This record gives sequence, structure tokens and C-alpha cells, in this order.
Amino acid sequence: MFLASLKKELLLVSRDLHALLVLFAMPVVFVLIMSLALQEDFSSRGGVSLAGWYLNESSDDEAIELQDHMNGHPQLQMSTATDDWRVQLTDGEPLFVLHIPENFAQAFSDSPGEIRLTLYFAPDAGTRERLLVEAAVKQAFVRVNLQAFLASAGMLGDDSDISDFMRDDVLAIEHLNRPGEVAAQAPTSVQQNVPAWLIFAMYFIVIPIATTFVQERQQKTLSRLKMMGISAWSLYGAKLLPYMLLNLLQLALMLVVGVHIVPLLGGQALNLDVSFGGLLVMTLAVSVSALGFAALVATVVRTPEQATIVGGTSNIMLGAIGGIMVPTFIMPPVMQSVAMISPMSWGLEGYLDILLRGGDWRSVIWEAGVLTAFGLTMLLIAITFFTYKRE
Amino acid sequence: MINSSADSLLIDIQQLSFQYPGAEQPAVDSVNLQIERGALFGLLGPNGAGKTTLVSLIAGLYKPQAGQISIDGQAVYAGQRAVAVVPQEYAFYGQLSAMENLAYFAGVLGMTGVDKAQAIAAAIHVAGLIEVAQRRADTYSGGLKRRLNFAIGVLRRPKVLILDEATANVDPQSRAFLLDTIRELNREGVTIVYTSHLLDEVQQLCHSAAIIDGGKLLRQGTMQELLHPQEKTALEIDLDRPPSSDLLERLQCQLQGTQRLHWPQWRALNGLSTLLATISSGGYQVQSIHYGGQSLENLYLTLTSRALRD
Repeated sequence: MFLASLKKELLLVSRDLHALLVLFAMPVVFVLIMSLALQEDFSSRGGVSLAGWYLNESSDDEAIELQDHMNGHPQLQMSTATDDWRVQLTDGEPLFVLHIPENFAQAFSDSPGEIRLTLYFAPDAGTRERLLVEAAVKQAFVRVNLQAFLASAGMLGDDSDISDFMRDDVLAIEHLNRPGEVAAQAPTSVQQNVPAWLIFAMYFIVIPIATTFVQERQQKTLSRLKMMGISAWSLYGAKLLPYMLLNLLQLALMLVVGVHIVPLLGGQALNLDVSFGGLLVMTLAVSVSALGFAALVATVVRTPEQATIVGGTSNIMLGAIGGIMVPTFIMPPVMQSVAMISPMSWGLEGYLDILLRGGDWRSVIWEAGVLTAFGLTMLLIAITFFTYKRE
Repeated sequence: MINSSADSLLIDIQQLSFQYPGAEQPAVDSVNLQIERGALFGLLGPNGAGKTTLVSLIAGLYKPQAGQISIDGQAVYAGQRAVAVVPQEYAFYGQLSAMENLAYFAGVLGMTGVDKAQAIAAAIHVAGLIEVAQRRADTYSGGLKRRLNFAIGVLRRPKVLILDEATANVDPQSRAFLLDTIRELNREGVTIVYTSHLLDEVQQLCHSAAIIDGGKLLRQGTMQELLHPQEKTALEIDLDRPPSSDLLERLQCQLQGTQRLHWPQWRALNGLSTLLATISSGGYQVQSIHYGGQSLENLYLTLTSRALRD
């Protein structure tokens, strides 16, 4: 019976264009877009380039030195402000304007008074960008200040430069992706996005499962099957297990896309030097949770339209809460706690344990256990409801 | 009532009752029903009469809350090999072809290998689906869909085949084909339980029938017993126009429709001339006279009343 059901469900899905788009095309598109869009963001922040303007009213040497230091910053692109800089700034071009007052040199005297550098930011400047610019300006000011101090103390020769005293290489950056093992490079955006959108796509099996289940109920096919002697457990098992196979196909597809397709479009390839046992355990656990959830939705909705709306909406909500669309690490603590109620959050943590932190199947037993318990509980509720509900 | 010997009795229903949770009245209420082996049995009743519930109980879909059902002396259960049901709805997958549907249901029934292939081929042949077997079922006409629905029901040749409105919404050709096929299966020994609202069809097709309403069995018997009861011989006279109430009172009869006079129990044929004279004196002309039996429709409406149902 299982083989007959497997063939039937696969035929039904293969002839359902919408289901194919949702299960396979949608996650591929999401991974490609998000991996490429966030590529710069994950590439050690080195690709960030922020445009800034000087509004320099000072002709002091210190002001020129400050500009030189700012110009040398690898993540800033500096130029001179235009007369309509206020209009340009509010339009977002540039991101910031640095005002250097006329008597800037007085800031380094014994009585600096009220001399201030002023940063004007564009309305769309983000927190991270603002912090980066502020740090760059303070660093440049410290350099000018230090140079002035060293010069006044007679510690700088004519050929000396403040850079001789600044050790930019004092900080080494390593990525400890695996315990005790330093990775060759930082995690890439594709490493983060493949599991996120894989989980999202796996949960979208709720729509074809619920839609066909409702149609079977409305057309009395379920009654016919029950009269043929199929128990509720067999009925659900035969319907859900083929979709576990589809979930595994989704995993394979997403890995292929991450390894082979993303690099073709200029992104970094997914690193698959990870535990395949762990990946399999996590995929099966996420699949069980998605199947249980799908079984419950399929049982409680009454029409195919309800199946589509309830299934789609609940998936998007679980994804939003669970860190699929917005990573949980940038959420406030309250929302991070709320994220725990979404099974997608557990799934994503498990996958990241494997893909980012070098874990294996033992590392994800807790997440896999929670997901499996969630899925079986949903399935039990669904079957109980189905058994005692009049068809 | 059918008086059957133990050998000829196939379906035996005794004091069967079933009530849905939350319902005010039982859907099936203390029903006693016997169906002989090899019968072509009509099950009639208005919407909500309890037919589908009774069929579901016979098929083992629901468990009786009181009473018992046995088929060939054994209590019924879901999945019993003896019974197959063809529901009124198109209970198959429109995205699959007839062949794929039959292969799936044959797999569900546990068939494999040669047995499965032979059963599918036989079902396709019986239902006349050979030329469309590879086409998706959602492209079929209503008649073809009915025939596929039927083919799934006869995949595993059952002892009892229950057909629920098997010819609803089909053209005359498909109806004739299905009725001929049902008769052929019956001749081969399959007991047929046939529910329908098409009373003429049941009257022509079935050897015996039962009428239920409100969950209760109102009448059961052979067609001869139902339509020509010795104790009830109806007389019907159709007039050229609606009669006056005065005429109805003088004739002491019932009015059926607008101009049919009806005497449910007319025994004295020799009083017919007096009756016709009374009609004639009222200025009415007689269009036709029916005597010596009644149609199944008349019996049905008499037993279940003319009140509209949900």
C-alpha cells in the first residue's frame, strides 16, 4: 500500500504546477537572491563602502591631517561637500557629512573651548553604519591628537609619522567555526541562507498535503479508503511519508544550488565540509515536524482555499518568528525568547550547528528531539481529531 | 417482508440504531432489514432519511450503537472483503488517469502482480473505459466519471456491491450502460444494494426494495409485494380539469396532483359505473383510469409524505 500511495502522491505533486513552484522553485529563488544580496554583509564587512562629505571650514594643518586619515579608511569614500549638502544629505547622497569648524586647531590647544566636530547623517543611515563612521572619525581625531602631542614632546622626527606608532596589525581575526579548528574563512551568506530557506520550503508541504486531503474528504475518497479498511494511522502514514521523500529531494536541490549555482552567479559556494549524518538527522527531524504540522492543518481546514490561506500564512508567521527572514541574533531578547515557540527556529539552530559550528549528529540531538516531539504531537492531535470527527 | 431461509439470507440487520454526536434524533432507528443473496435491492428514502448512514453502517464505516449487522453470518467491519461501495461523489483523483486511479486503489486493497493487473483490466473492461484509460480523469464527461467511480468499486469482485446514486447526472446512454452492467454483475451472483432518487429506475431495475424515512424502515418487500399488495388495490382516475371539493366529498377520494382522483383501497369493481356516473354528472370527463396496483412513486410519496426535505 505504501508504494501505491508513494506513486500516487508523487504523481499528484508532479502534476500540480503550483505545488512544484512552492516546494522547489521558491526556495531556490530565495537562496539565490538572499545569498547574493547579503554576500557583502557577510564577507568580513570588508566590502562596505560608505560615502561621506567634508564640510571643512578650517585651513589648519590639523584639519588637513584629519582629512588624510579619513581618506585612508578602507570603508569610507570621502569627498568635498557641495553647497546644497543639506538637500543632498536628506536625499541619501551622501550617507554623512563631517563638519570641521573654522578654528579646528584650537581643539588641540590647552583650552579647547567648545570646538566640536559635527557628524550629520542621512535619514536612512543604519545603526551599524553610524557606529562605523563615528569610530572612524574618533580614530582619525585620536591620530591627529596623538601626532600633535608627540610632536610637541619632541618625539617625532621630521621624517617620522604617527603610523610608526600605530600598530594596525595588533588585532588578528580568526573564525573559530569548529571547536579547536580555525576555519579558512568566515561563514558566507549562502551558509546561512541555504538552511533557512530549506526549512521554509520544507514547511510548505503543508499546502499540497492539506489541499489534497481536503479534496479527498470532500469527494468522499477518504470515506472510500476507510471503507476499504485503511486505519487512520495507515492513511496518514501513507499520505505523509512520500512527502518526507520530497523533503529529502528539497535538501539535495538546495545543496546543489548552494554548491554549484550560487558560485555561477558570483556568490561564494556553500561549504559542504560538514557532517552529512548531522544534516540527515536534522532534515528528517524538520521533516517530521513539518509533516505533523501539515497533518493538523489538513485535518482542521474545511476547504482547499482555507488550506492554502491557513497553510501559507502560518508558514510565513512561523518563519518570521523563527528567524528565517530576520536572524534571531539581531532580535531583542524578548523576541529571541518568542522565536523559541517556532519549530523553524529549532530547525535553523540545528542546521547552523552543523553548517557553521562544525557539529555532527550528536550536536543536534536536542534540536532534533524537540522537532520530532513537536511533529508527533501534532500528528497525534490530527489523528485523534480525524478519528472522532464525522466525515 | 422477505421470508428467507438461512442459506439465502446474505445481509441481516437487526434492531440497528445509530445517532451522530450532537444530533437530536437517531439517523438510523431500530431498523430490521434482510437482503437475500443475489438480490438486486433498492434502498429508497428522501434526503436525510438515513440511507447514507445505513449504507455506511453496512460497509463498516461506522459502528452500530445498538443492534447488529451481519453479512453471510459475520459481523461487519471496515475493510471487509465482502462489501464494496460506490459513493455518489466522484471518489477518485482527477489528476490521475483511470489506469493510475485503479492501480492506486488496487494497491490499497493489497493486490499485487498478476492479480492486480487482471483486476484492473477487468474493471476497465466492465466499465467500458478502455479507450480513455490513459487520459486524466478530470477531462472525462460526467458519464465517464461515473463509470470510473463504478470501476473502482468492482476492482475486487465483492459479494455485496452498494451503489449510491450510481446514475446521477449522466446521459441516457451512460445510464443504460451502467444499468446493464449492474444487471450483468447481479446475474453473475453479486448482490446489489442500489440507492437512488430515480424511482422509475429502481422500479425497473430492482427485484426488491425498502423505503426508509426519519431513520425508520417504512416498508420492505419484493416489487410485487410493494406495488401490488393484496390488501391494497388502488384506483386512480385522471380528470380533464381539477375537481371541485364537492365532487371529492361525494366520491370520498383523495386528490393527487391537480386532477387525479385516488382511492388507496378500492375493492368493489362493481361500484365503478356508479362512480363514473357521478363524475359525468358533475360535467367532468375522464382522461384515464388506473386500477390494480400503484407506482413506486405513489407508494413512496404516500409513505414519506409530500413535505419538502432539506
